[in-house]
Amino acid sequence: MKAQQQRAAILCSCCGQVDLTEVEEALQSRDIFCWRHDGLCTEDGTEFIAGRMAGANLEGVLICACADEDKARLWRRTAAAEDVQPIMTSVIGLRDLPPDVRRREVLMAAAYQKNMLPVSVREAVSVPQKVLVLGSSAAGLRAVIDLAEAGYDVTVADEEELARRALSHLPPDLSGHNDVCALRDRVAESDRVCVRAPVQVTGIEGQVGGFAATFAHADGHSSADRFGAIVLAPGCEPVQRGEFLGVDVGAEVVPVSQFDDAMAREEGLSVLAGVRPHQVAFVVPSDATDTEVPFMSAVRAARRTRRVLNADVYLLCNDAKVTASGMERAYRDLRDDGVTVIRFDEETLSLEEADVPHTYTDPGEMAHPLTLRFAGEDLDGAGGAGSWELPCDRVFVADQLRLSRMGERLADLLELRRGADGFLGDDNIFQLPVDTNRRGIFVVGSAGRPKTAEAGRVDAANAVLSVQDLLGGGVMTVDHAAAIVQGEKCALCLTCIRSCPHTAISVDEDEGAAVVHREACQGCGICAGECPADAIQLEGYSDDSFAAALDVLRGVQ
Amino acid sequence: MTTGELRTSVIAFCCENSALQAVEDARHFGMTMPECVQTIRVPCAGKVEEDHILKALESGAAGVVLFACHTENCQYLQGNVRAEKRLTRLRGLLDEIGYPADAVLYASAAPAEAARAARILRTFADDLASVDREEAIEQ
Ligand code: SF4
Ligand code: SF4
Repeated sequence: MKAQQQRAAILCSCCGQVDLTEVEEALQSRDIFCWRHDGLCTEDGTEFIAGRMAGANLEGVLICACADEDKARLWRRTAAAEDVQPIMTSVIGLRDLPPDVRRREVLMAAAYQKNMLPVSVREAVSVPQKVLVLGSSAAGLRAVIDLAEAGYDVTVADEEELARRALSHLPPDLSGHNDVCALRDRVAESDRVCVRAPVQVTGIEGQVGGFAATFAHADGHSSADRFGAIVLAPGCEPVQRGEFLGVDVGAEVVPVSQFDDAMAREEGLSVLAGVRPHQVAFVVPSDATDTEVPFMSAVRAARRTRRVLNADVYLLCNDAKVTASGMERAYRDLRDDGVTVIRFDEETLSLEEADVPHTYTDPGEMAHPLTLRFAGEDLDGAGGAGSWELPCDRVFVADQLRLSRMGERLADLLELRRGADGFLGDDNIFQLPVDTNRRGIFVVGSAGRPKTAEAGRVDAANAVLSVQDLLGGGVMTVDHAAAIVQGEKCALCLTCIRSCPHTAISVDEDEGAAVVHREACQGCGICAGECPADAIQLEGYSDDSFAAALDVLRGVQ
Repeated sequence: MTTGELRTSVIAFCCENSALQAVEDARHFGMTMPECVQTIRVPCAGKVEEDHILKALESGAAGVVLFACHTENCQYLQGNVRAEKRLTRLRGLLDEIGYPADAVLYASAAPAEAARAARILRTFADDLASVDREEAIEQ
């Protein structure tokens, strides 16, 4: 017995009446060690069991024999006394099973029902120590550096110049502006990193451990490469607002991201078109508050406007954000800087442009070309609650964020599941923090959900750990395909391909049948449940073993 | 029906990632559970086929529970969604083939919700029993 084998079965052949060969093979193929005895129900059998359990370094044992309840109890206790988990101990009479149920299936079903089927490592396959990072958000660049430092050959590909998207349309919260520049330079210098940008990703075939990617370069040539794993970092981008409350966005109504952008480029407040506003409102509509990031950007921009321009600054937010975590401090800071914070009722909000041409009292000064009307409440209580009529020179609107176009294209290309908000991150607890529905494809930064630069850094670190888990030192461990398509039954209806949540099934053209890729299959059995032709069986839970489990339950005599 | 014992038995297909743990804990902690419940461990509720549920009914179970994970908590993302759809479809068919639609139930529980699982099973078993009694009275 090999040292690492931790589960065993003791099988009774009942004086040779039961042919155990098939059963043993099946169990051994799942790393369950087998002992054979020809009469466990005798006194000798009990001793045999005690002898095998003594000092056994076992996690669990499956005892297959017919025995009365007392004897079964004795055996279970014998096992338990040696720290062989009693919950994993089962006694099943093989001989008593009806002949139409295949014994092998019964055993496998029993082993499965008792949690005896180990998620065993079936095979080690060598995989390229290469990782493809798609997109170059701050978190993505961070992942590139960290992966390279961890010894992987990294290719980073983007549809635009490296880091361009992050630097051009995102608030610093998201882009980590200075960070991005520094990271970009480090990426360019690293000799473990291959940069492909700008480039179009034209295809990604295959599965974890062997993703085959093809790229179309700007100069018209194309290239291809293989990767063990993929990290997605295409980032998010603001939704372009054409208008806000009926007023064109552009001159007097400005998205906060443009304000940030201008500040980040150190163009100062030229976004204000060289005029000096007296009264400015920042509005955070509910479409922008799915995450805290756009809100915090508005907060920062409001404080900055107040400090730099010394204008009267109002920040309008709705109920949801007033109670969100971490907001307390933001309010205090706003108040300390003299910004008026108003909780407004979004239903009542309207914006009106003055119908007379703007009058400028002084050159370079504005005279309230806009009027905001709403019902709301000054959080300081000074202005009181009620209807407001707020004349403004500028209205800044917090941005609604969405997955970047590149992210959308990648999601389609890779058949990734997207959350309700369209981002690649999922609320499913099993996918946190960086997993996607496909094994070996991870998502970092704001493509998962808008995140601060710091949270993106954490993502990158998590992604590196996930890649290391998966690719190890160039060897990936692969389980048996849990689901197996019986080619001759497959009608190629593609139902399984559509229903597999992990994109683990494709069409095998040569076989003319669906084929499950064992490296990506996670063994849920959904495909088997959906296949109208009953062509897919799940190991440990095949139709036969289900029938057997039912028989075991019914206590077939 | 003469097989009185089986008539009241409930077979619960339990997802091994959630409900199985809950039901086992409920037993372990001695919560009030209907005697007649037997569990079948499944890798995911999404695996359980109509056929399996029908077989369970054919084999004499009075009721079948398909016990899955809560919404958005499926380890395999879609398993619970598919399971629920499948069960709804099946309920529509049951009538035609002579079983009451209420003989099958879709339910969800988290691994730690032993009490919830026990309550669901209790209610289900009670409902089945009362239907049984009504039928007996009618005859
Ligand atoms: S669902 Fe079944 S029949 Fe349809 S393609 Fe898949 S294996 Fe073939
Ligand atoms: S068992 Fe689940 S993961 Fe595996 S191929 Fe079927 S549906 Fe996909």
